[in-house]
Amino acid sequence: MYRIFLTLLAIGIWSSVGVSAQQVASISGYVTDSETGETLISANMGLQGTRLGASTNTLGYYTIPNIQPGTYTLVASYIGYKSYSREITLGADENLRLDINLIPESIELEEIEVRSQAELEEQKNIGTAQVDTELIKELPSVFEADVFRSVQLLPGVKAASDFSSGLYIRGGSPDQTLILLDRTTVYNPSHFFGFFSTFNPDAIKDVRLYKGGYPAEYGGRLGSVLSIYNKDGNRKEMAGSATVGLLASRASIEGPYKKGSWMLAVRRSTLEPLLAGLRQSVDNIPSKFYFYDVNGKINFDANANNKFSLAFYAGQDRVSFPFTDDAVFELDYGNQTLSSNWTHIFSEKLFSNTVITGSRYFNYPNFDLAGTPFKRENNIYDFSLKSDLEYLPNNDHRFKMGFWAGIFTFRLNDIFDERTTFQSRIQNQYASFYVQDEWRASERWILTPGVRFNYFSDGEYIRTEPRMAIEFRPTDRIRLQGAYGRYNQFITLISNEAFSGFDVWLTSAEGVSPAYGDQFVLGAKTIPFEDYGLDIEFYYRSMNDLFELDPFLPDVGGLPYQDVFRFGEGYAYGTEVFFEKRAGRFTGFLGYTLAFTWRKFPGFNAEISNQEQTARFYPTKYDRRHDINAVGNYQLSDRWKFTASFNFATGQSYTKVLGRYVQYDLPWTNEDRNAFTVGKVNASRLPNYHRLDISFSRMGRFFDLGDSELQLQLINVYSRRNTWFYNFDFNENPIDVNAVNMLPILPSISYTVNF
Amino acid sequence: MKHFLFILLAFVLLVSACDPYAQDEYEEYYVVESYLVANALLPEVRLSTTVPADAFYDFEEAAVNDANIEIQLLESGAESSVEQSWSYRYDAPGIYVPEVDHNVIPGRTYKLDITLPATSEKITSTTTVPEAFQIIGAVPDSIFYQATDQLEFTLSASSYPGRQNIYVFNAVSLRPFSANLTPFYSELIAESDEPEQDLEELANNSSGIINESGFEFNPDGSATVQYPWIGIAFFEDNLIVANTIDDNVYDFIRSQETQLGGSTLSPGEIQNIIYNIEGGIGVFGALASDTVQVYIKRPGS
Repeated sequence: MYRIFLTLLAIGIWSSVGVSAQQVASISGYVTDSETGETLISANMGLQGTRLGASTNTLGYYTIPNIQPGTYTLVASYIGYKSYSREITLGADENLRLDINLIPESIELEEIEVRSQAELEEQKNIGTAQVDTELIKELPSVFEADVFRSVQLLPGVKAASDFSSGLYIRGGSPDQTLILLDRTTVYNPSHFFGFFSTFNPDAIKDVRLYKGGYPAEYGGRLGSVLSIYNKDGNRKEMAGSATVGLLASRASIEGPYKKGSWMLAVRRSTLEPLLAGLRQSVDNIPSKFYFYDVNGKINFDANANNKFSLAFYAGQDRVSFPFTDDAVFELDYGNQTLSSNWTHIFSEKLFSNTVITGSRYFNYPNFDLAGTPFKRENNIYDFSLKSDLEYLPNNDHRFKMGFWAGIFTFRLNDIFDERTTFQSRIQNQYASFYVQDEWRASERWILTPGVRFNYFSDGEYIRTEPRMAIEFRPTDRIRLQGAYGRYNQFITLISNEAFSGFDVWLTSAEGVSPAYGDQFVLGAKTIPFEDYGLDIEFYYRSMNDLFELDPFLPDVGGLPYQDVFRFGEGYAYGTEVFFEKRAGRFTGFLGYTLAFTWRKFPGFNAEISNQEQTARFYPTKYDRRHDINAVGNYQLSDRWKFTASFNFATGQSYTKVLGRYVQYDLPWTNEDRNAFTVGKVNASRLPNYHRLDISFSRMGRFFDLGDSELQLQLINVYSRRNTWFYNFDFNENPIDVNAVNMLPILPSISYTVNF
Repeated sequence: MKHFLFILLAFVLLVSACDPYAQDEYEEYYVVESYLVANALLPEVRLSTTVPADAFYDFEEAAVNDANIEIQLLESGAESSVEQSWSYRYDAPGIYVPEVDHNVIPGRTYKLDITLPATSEKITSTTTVPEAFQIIGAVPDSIFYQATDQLEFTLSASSYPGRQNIYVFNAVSLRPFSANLTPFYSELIAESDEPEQDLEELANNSSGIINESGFEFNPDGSATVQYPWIGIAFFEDNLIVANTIDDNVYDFIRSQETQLGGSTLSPGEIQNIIYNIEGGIGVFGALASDTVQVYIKRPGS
C-alpha cells in the first residue's frame, strides 16, 4: 500500500521541479497581532484577483511563491481582526519579506465576525477541529474553565463521566490521543484525579484536535492528536490577568523585552479554607489537597530569519489523607515539560522548525496502613529532538518532512512493607521520519499523500504508515473529503476511568507487539447559508494488537513482561454531524454523533459454559449510541453575555447481573463470597444522560486598573441525577442495587481582572 | 438540503434500530464448592444452583440434594485414568461428605465427578494439589505489635506445575473480641454499619493473592517471609496460616474479586468468573498449608 503513497509523493516532487525553474518572485513573512505581537496561526494571505495565496503555519509564517513579476494587492485576514491590504510590486526573482501586523476588531454588538478563509480551511480539514480559546473561558464549567471539557463538546469526543476530563475520541481510550503542549508530549494531563485537565486557559493560544485520519507529520497514537500551543507573550506592552474562582485562582503576566517576549501563567487550587472549615465538623477530610501548574515561555528573536523560544510547564497534585489514626494515604503526581524551539527561514521557500523536548511524568502513591507501608515510584522521562522542514516550491505544493527521535525511559518500583515487589526500568530509543505533500492538483482537487516510518528499539520494531487525504471541491461551498491512514502505538496506559491518579504507562517490547490500526474517513464540509456551516463525517477504524494490563492479575510479581498483558482487538465506526452559526449576536453549534465502539479480548465476554473458545466483541462503557451537544453564545448587551451548553447522550453500557450464588468454604476467610453470573458484557444501558449548563458574564471595570469580567454559572441547571454506575449491597437479601449518581446542580462564580 | 437531512435521519434510525447485541436472559447453573487440602482428609462438597439476581438467596433452597458424587484420584494428570475413587453421601441440604476417609496426597491430580440421576447431567472438574511445604526454623512465640523486627518465618521449598507458587496468608484470631482489635481495625469497626459481621470476618484476616517472587529466597530454595502488620487484626493468640493454591482457586479468586470493581475495568463492566468446571460453575480447588501460633503483645505491655 505504501508504494502507492510513495509514488504519489514522487509525482508531486517531479511536477514541482518543472515549475520551480521559472523566473518568478515570492512573498513571505510572519503574521502577528498588532497589539500583542502574538503570531497568528492559519491567517489567510492572498493576492487579489489571482488564485495565489497561502495560510500561516503553526508558527505564524507564510510563503506565497511563484508569483509572476508585477503589481498586486496583498490581502490578509484572520478571525476577529481587521482585514489588511497593501499594494506591492514584485520584480523578477524578488523575494519580498513582509511581516504583517493585523489589528484586532473592537468588540461591537452588530459587528460581523471576520473569519479568514484559510482558518476555515484548516478547521475544515478532514477529521480536524479547532477550539476557540475564548470559548473555553466562556463555557459553563464545573468550578474551573477547562480545555478538555470544552473539547468533549465536539462531535466524536466523549467523556467517561462528569468526573473525568479524559478524552474518548472516536472509540479510542484516552491513551490513544497524543497530547502535545508546544510540540512536547504530556503523559498525564490531569489534575484532581482526572477531574480537570492541566492546561491553564490563560496561557493557551491555540487548541487543535485531529480526531482521526491525521496527516503523516504526526504519529505515535492509534487515534488522534490534540495539539496545544501556549502564548508567546505580548511583544508590545506588559499585560496580565488575575482570576479568582471557587476551586482555583490563576494569574498570568506577559510582556516584551528588547529581543522578544515572555509569558508566565500560574494557577493553584484554593481549597484549603474550605477543607479547614470542614475539618471542624466532618471526619475524614484530607490534611493536604492541592494542585498547581505553571506555564512559562521566553522568546528570543535573534534576527529576521531566526527565532528561538524556551517554554516550560510544571504541574503537580498533592494529597495527604490520614483516614484513621493508624492509616494514611498520600499521592504526589504531576508533569514537567521543557521545550527549546528554533525557527529558521532558509529562504522564502524553505522553512524549518527544530525543537528539543523534555517531558517528565511522575506518580508517587503511598499508603501506610497499620504500620505496613506501600509505596510506588513511577517515572517517565522522554527526551527528544524533533525537526520539521516545510518547502513550498510553488503554489501547488507544500512539502513537509521531518523526524522525531528520542529516548523514552520508564521506571516503576512497587515497594510493599519495605521490600520491592515489582521493579522495572525500560529504556527505549524511538525514531520516526515522515514526508508528505499537500498537492493542489487543480482548483478542485487537493491530494495529501504521506508516509511515516517508525522505529522502536525494544523489540526492534519498524513500522511503516501510509497516509492519504483527498479533497474535491465541486462548488465553493462544498468540500468532499476522504482520508486513510495506518497508525501504530508503542505505549499503553494502565488507568481506571474513575480515578486517574495512579496512571502508569507501559511500552511494547519483545513479545509485546505495538498496537496498530487503520482509519478511513469520508466527509463533506458545506456552507449551506452565509455564516453557517454544516459538516458531516463518517469514520471506520480498526484496532489490532491492543495490549493492556490484564485486569485479572492481582499480583504481577515474577511474571514475564509479556504475561502481564492481555492482547485484543477492536473497531469503531460512526457518523458525526456539526452545524454551526459562526457570526452575529448569536453564535454556537449543534453536534450529533452516532457511534459504535467494540473490543474483544481472549476469554473476556465469553459464554459461561465455554470460556476458552467464545470471547465475543463487546461495547466499551463509553460507547454511546447517540450524543447531541448544543452550545450557544448570546450577546445580551455590550456588557452581558449568556452562554449555555446542553448534552444529551444515550446511557452508557453496563453489564446487567443475571444470577448469583455464594461460596462459603474458602479456607482462609470467614467471609462468604458473593458471586455473580452475567450474560454478555455491557449489553445493557444506563438511563439516558442529559445536562444543561448556563453562564452569564458581565464585563466591567476594576477601578481604573483594567477591564473585569464576572462569571456566574450554573452546572446541571435542573439537577438531573445522571447515573454513573450501579452499586450492589450484599447486606440486603435480595441484593439491593443502588445507582451511583454524577454531579447535582452546582453554582460557580469567578471574577477576572485584565490589566 | 432537505433530501440530505432526510437521508441522514433515515440512516440514523435504521442503524440504531438494529441491536445485534441484546441482553441475555437469566440461566440457571449448578454450583460446586470444594477444596482439597494437602495431607488433610477429603473435604465436603457443596452442590447448589444459582438464583436470579433479584431473588432472595437461601443456600438450602438452592441446594441440590439428589446427586451422585465421587472424588477420584487420577494416575498421572488430568487426562489419565482413575487410580482410586471415593463416593460421597448426602449429609445436609446441598452438602455431601465422603463415605470413607482419605488423606489428600500432595502433587497428585484429583477429579470431581457428579452425576444428577434426574436429568443425567454431569459435572466434572480436576485439580492438581500443590506440593506440601512447612514453616521451618524458629518462629517467636510472641512479638510486640508493630515492633521494628517483624514477625518472620521461613517456608520450605514448594512447587506447582508450570508456574511459580502463589500464596495466600491468613491470621486466625483465637480471641476475636473487639477489645482485642489492633488500632487500625478498631477504628474501622467503630465506623462500620455491620460491626458484628465485620468482626467475624476479621477473625480470619487474609492477605489476598501473593506471588512467591516477592519473597526473599535462601540458597536451599526456602523463602523467608516477613508478615506485614496490616495482616494482624487482633492482639493475643493468632494462628498464622500460609497457603499455596492451585489454578482453580487462583482463577476463581482473581476473577471474583474484579466483579465488584477495583481493577482497571470500568465501573459496571462485570465479567463472569473464570471457571474450570465442566457442566457447572463454582470451584473445585486445592491448596497446601501450614500453620504457626504467635502471641501478639500490645505495645508497652
